[in-house]
Amino acid sequence: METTLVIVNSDATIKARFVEAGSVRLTGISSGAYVYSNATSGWVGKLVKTGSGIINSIKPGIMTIAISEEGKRTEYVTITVPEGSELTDTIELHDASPLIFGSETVVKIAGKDVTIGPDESVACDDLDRDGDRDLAILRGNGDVELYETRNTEFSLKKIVSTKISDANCLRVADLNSDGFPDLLISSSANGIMHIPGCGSFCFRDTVITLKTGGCTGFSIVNYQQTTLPVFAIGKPDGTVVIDNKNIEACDGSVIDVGSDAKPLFIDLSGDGKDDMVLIDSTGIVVWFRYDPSGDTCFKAMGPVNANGKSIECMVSGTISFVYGDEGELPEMLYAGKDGVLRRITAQLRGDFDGDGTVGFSDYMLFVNAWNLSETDTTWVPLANMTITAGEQKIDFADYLLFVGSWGKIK
Amino acid sequence: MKIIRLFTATIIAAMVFGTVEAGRNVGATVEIDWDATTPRIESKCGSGDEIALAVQVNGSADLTGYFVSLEYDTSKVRMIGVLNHLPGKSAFIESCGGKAGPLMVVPNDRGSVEIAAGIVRADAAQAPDGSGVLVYARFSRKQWSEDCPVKLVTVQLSDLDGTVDTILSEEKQPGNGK
Repeated sequence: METTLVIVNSDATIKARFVEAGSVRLTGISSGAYVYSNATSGWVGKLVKTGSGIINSIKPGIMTIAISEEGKRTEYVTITVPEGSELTDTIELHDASPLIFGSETVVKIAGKDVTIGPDESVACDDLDRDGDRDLAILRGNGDVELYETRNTEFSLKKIVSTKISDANCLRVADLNSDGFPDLLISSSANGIMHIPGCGSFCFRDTVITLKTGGCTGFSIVNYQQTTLPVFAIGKPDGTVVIDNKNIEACDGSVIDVGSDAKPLFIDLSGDGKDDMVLIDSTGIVVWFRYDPSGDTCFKAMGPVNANGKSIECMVSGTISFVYGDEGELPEMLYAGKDGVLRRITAQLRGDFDGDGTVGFSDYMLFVNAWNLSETDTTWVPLANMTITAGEQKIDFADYLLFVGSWGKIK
Repeated sequence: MKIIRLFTATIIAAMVFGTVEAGRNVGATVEIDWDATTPRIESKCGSGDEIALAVQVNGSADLTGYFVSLEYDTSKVRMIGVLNHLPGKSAFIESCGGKAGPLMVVPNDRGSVEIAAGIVRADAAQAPDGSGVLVYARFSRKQWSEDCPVKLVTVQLSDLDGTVDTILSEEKQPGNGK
C-alpha cells in the first residue's frame, strides 16, 4: 500500500511505501514540518520530529530518494519538490506498530537440538563481520561456545573460557566502539563483566567489571549514538533496574517482575526505540514498551504474541534477538520450557493470522478486538499499537496503524 | 423483466481460495445496482455526470463482515466517496443489532478502492442473513466513455466461524456494466 503524505508548510508531496514497522528517515524536508497522512476518513495529522542533517542532493522536481530504517532496510520514496521549497533538515517519520511472531522452529547444530540450562544464555551477532549472524552460547561453567554460520548451518569455531563460575547472561555488543564485538557476561555475585573483542572470533583476556552489582541478566541499548548507553539490569530480588543517565526521571527506576529476569532490549513496537522483553515468573515472554514519559520509562504491555498465543519458556531462561538481512523481518531465539533452543520469526504488523499478508481475515480479527480495554479479560495487547493517555483501548489510533499496514505482503 | 435483469446482473461465480474450507456464504451472490439513487436495480452504467452504485449481497448467511474491492479508470472518473449505509438508514451489516467496527476504506491513486466492514464480536443473533447493500460508492465522470469505467473486482464474506468465502467477479460480465 502506498501512503500519501503532504508537507503542509511547504508544497512538497511525498509518496512513501512503508513495508514494515520501524523508524524511517526522510531527508530533504523543511524544518518543523508537519506530515499529514491520507487516511480513510480525510486527512489525519501525524506529527514527525525534525532533527539535524542535510542532504544537498535534493533538487526541485520529481525524484526518488532512498530512506533507510536504522540501517536495517531501505525504502524508496518518490518526492515532488516544488521550486523555492526550503530543503534543509532531516525528519524522522515513525510509522510504527508492534511486531508479532509466527511459528517456531528448533535450532540445530550438526543435526542435533541445542539445549540450554536456566543459567545459560545465547546471543546472536556477526562475530566475524562477514555479513551473517553467528551464535554464542554461554555455558554454566563460564565457557562461551562460539559458532560460525556457514550455509545456514552452525559450526563450532572456538570456546572462550571466562572462568566466571556464576555467569548467567551473555550479550554481544561493541561497548567500547572499537569496531569489534565484545562479550558482556553477567554474574549473580559480581555484576556485568566486559570482555573486549579484538577481531574475528577474537576476545582479549582482559575482564572489566562494570559496577552494576549482582545481576541475573541484562541488556544494553543506545537510544541515540550521542548519548550514554541505557542498561536494564535484572536483580536477584526479582526486579529490573533501569540505568539511564540520559533521562533523570527514568534513571534508577525499578520494575518488579517477580523473577530472575534476563531483560532484552528490542524494538518490538516498531517506533524506532528499543522496548524491553523478558521472561516473567511463569515462563511467559512479556514486553514493556519504551515510554520516557512514564515513571520507569517502560510500560507493561503483556505477553509477546506468537500466532495468537504467548510464548512459553523456561523460567529465568534466555532470549536473544536477531535482526535479519536487509528487508527481512527479525527473529527471536529462546529456550522453551524443555530447554530446547528455538527460533521464531517476526511477521508483518497487522498480519494477525500469520498468512504473510495483511488482509480481510486480519481486519476481522482487528474488528473483534475493537474497543476492548486493558481491563477486559479478552484484551488483545498486540492490537494496541499505540499508547494513549489513561486506560489503554483498541481505538482509532490503532485502526489507523492497521490501515497503514493494509495490503502489505511479507 | 426484473428477474432477467437480476439474473444478468448477478455474479454467480463463487470460489474459495486454496484449500480453505467453504463457509456459510459460499453460495451467496452479489449484484451491482449501477444507479443507487432510484428504487429499481439498474444493470448498466448510467450516462450522467455521476455514477452512484450499490454492491448488494444476496443469500448471505450469518454474515459478520465483508470485503469489497473496486477498480476504476482514473482518467475517466474520480471517486467521491464510499459508505456502507445511506444517511438516516442503518447498514445491512448492523441490521440484526450488531455494532460494526470502523469502516475501512483504502483508496489507491492507481484507481482502486478496498472496503471492509465487520461486526464487533458478533453473536449468532447479530449476524444478518439474506440480502442487503454492502457498499455505496459515488464517482464523478471526468469524461464520457462507452465502457463502464468502474469495475467490481472482489467480494469476500466472513461468517460466524470466521470462515471467509471469496466471490470473484469475472472481467466481462454483465454485473460490471458491460
